[in-house]
Amino acid sequence: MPQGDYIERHRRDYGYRLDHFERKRKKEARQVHKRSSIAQKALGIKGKMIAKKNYAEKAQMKKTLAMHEESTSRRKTDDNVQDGAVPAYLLDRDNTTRAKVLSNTIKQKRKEKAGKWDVPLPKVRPVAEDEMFKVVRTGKRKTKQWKRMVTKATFVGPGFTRKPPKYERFIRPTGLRFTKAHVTHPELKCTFNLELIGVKKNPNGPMYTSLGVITRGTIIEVNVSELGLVTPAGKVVWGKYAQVTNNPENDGCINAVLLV
Amino acid sequence: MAKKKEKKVNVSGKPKHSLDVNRSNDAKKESRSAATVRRLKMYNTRPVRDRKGKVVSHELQSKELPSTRIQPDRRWFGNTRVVNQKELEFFREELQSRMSSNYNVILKEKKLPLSLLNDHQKQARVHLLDREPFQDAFGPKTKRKRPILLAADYESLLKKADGSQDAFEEKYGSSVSAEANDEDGFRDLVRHTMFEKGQSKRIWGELYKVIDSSDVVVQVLDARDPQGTRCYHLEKHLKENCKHKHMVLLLNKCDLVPAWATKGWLRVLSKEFPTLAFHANINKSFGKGSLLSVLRQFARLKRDKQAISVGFVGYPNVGKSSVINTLRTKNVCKVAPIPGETKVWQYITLTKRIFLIDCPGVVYHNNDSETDVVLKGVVRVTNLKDAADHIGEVLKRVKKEHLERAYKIKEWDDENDFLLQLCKSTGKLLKGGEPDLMTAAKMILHDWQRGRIPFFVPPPRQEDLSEEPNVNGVDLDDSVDGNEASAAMKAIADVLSSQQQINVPVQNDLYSEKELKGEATDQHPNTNANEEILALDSNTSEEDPISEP
Repeated sequence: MPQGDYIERHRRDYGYRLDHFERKRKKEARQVHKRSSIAQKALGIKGKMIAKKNYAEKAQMKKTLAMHEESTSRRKTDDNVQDGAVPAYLLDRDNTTRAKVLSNTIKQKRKEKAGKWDVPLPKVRPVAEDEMFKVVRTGKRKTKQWKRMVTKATFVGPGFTRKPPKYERFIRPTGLRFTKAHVTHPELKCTFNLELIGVKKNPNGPMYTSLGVITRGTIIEVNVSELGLVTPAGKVVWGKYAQVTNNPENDGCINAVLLV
Repeated sequence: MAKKKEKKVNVSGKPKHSLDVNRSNDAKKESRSAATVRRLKMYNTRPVRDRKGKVVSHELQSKELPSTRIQPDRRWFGNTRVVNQKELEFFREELQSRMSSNYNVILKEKKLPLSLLNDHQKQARVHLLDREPFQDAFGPKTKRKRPILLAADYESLLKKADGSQDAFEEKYGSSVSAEANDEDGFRDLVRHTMFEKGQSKRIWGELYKVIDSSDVVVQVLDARDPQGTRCYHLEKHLKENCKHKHMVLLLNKCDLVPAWATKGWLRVLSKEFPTLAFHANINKSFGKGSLLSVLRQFARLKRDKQAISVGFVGYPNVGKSSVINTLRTKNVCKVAPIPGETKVWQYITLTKRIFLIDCPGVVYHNNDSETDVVLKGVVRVTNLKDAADHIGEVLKRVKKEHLERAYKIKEWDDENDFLLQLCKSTGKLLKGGEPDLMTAAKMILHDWQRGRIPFFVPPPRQEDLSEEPNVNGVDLDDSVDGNEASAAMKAIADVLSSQQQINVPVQNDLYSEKELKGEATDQHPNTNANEEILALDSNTSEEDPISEP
């Protein structure tokens, strides 16, 4: 049996001490002073905890007293009937507010708008400059280090001629130049081998776009004469954009998706 | 990378030193422009290192990752190039009428839908209904299906097989001789590697580098054998893959052949490409003004570019480096009368807008024999181990009187006898009075290469004997042409025409007067003006109508 139970049984069998209640009353009366001295002498985190607890007790006491005071302002006992309230026999019926309908409509339109003009690869792995370029050392003692060899696939166009060696900083190797791309039509689900017209946008930066570098995610312009596309006005379409979906420098070919 | 402008510490406008980038781009001043100063400072860029030698930063070699987000835009999904039906018809007509000649160029090919103009023949139509119409397979008149065999019985099958075998043998006649060669148990002798000069991967790498960097490709031919020193593979490559580059043929060493032969070759070759005659000598050259004028017209044709590059390609030992030295009027390229002196490509500045590129000699692999390779001048004669084997062909190709005059030998039975007599007369003897045939043969081949023994391949006989200058595809009467490109090409054609009229100087004492006149009379029996022109040929220098810069 727990120890408290022995004390309780003894008090039940033999009664309390004769001065028990007197001592208890006095002890409780002195408790206020004891707690005050402890609160004053406590330092550090212990002091903060005691202060917090005392504040909570005091606030609770004020709220309890305020509840029992009489209010000075007169108030109506009946609340107003809410708008849209229905009788009890109609509570089982479902109801949707018009505002929710409008809210859903606007959200749907925003979602459609955002997704409609997204390219198939909105974000690709970035390529740093040290991966894109390789330093070419020139000169008799190989100390000139201002030339860079492009290590990715490039497109140079039909009228391209290399610059004189003293003016050419970016060297595009012949083996990494491409003139054709495998373009897949996403709706027709067929693939064509189309000629490249130009490089429109390289996601890694405008310098690579002007150099004609083709990496994954690049927007290229292809010659779509073979597809036989015609505008509603009767004109023949021979240029369209496509986005590169593979890594041309690793695969040795350019795979792209036509943007329709 | 954006151009990093240096901070403006000097705002007065006067540069402090010659490499100060903050300067005005005033064209009146003769100082360096800002772009030039930036380029000169670019040459000295090096990686920045810390105290321990570790690279801290290097230009265009940073490891920073860029942002790769592509903004959604409706312009990605539209049409970028459309063309009207009327414009298509117009382009097709114009292209068909103009592109047939080699003297017209398309300046901006990117703007034209060329794939729509040219019809492809890849997808041939399957003629299924021609073989079996519908009524044979369906309907009341159905016929029983009969397999279509190559032959009905054994005899017709045997006859058809014999016919196809005969056709195959006619088509591949050389293969039959190869098979016969295999049956005899003999194979072709393995050639020495010296006979494959100009065909290595390194040499062809240099050639493609030169072609990649050139706007105009000048193919230098030897006037003694123009068709033998042409590179047809290169011409085909330029015509198919590099349409924007121009090919010019240059007949070098025209002082070693008679004037009528040079003019004949000019007429023949001008049908394909612009062709000029040239004599590469720094002090006494021929055709230098014409070539400079043609190059200036090409530079004018490509005025949108800052400078053009002219690549000189051709067989070994045709004089490509000598041509460049003549244009520069000084020795800027190393030259020697032996093949293979130029080993890598060289870049030479001619004017501010014209650069020249020298290329080592290239040889495309063909069916030339060893003697053909030696007599074209591809191989160095000093390296030959059996030089005497090629003298027979030399004696066959050169006339007897030229050999008599060159070596003072009157009569000989065969090449061996000729070599014996030459050894005796020149004293090329081994111990015991034995003749040294190897040294004598090498002497003859050296004389052949350097032009001391006169030899040339005559041009093919022309059907029309007209004296008009033959420049293909250019309308000379078009005087109201406002197009700049047409004006430039017309000027080039005028240069070619004027050069065909100029008297070509021939080296003294190389050909007899009778030879010059006699061959001309055979070539043009009806005209007497030729004889008068050719009589004045000897020792006349070229009166250049264009003054030297």
